Amino acid sequence: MTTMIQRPGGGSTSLADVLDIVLDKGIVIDAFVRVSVIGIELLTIEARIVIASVDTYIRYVEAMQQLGALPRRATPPALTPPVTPPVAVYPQQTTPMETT
Amino acid sequence: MTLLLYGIVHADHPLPAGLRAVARDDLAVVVSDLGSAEPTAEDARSHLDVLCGLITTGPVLPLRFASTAADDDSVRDNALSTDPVAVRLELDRLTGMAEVHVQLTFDDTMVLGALLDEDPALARAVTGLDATVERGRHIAGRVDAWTARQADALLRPIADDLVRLADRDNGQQRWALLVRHDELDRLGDAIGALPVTATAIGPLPPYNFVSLPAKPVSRWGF
Repeated sequence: MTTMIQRPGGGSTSLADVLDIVLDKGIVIDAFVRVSVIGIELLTIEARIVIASVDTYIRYVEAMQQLGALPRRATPPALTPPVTPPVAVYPQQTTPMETT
Repeated sequence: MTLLLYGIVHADHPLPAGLRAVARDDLAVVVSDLGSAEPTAEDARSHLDVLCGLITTGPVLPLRFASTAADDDSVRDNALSTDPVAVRLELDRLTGMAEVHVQLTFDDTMVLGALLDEDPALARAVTGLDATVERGRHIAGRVDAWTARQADALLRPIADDLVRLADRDNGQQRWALLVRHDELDRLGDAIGALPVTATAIGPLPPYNFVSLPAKPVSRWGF
């Protein structure tokens, strides 16, 4: 297993990440009771997000105005596509064995 | 005895100790006896560990965490009898597949610079808190749309399917990718080669790619 993809099991994942993956996901079958889960304070999290948003808005405006005051560069930076070949599209592709 | 439910599998799916299968024909629901009265947040971890173990040996349709049933008959009647054809189709479709969550962090200055090139008016002066917040909200919307487009363009070529997940408040883009199990190493390489900061977690149960009709459309539906 490559180290780029962290394994979810064995306690290495934070509880926040686990809840993110598990909560409100998965098939719901009406006849099955869904019992409440102790220890999750969603309201607190939502309140924090609202406050953080306004902070982010103001930071964006300030950063944008600083950028606007700078001389504009000739060409904007572009994200280059990854050099790795597509993963799923060509499953049979082999590694080139060229030598120089 | 109340049962805690994990997911729907083929009836011959190998199970670890502590779990058992409630089977009907070729399908089964993986269950355990519910120990404590109510699950805690920490139980979500063991729930995920169970599902992550199960997906290594075959397809699993994960059920909502903390779903419970009164007894085996209730499990058979409600999970396995309602629409077994749809369940089989989903199990077939997800055989050999895994979900991987990818978080992308874009450099703010780079994103804002790209937006400013598109629309120089974004840097125009504003006065007053309300106008500043409104401008900031507008920029945040543009940032979100721009980064979402970039993320889609970067991730779509390396996944069989993908869906954007809800943001946290940390400015990261979160996406769920559906990939073949035997392509995970290659996916890791591809994620490492992305031109943005990326972290990934997986393989996970296919939470964001599984769907079953909630119930038959009607008694007479085909």
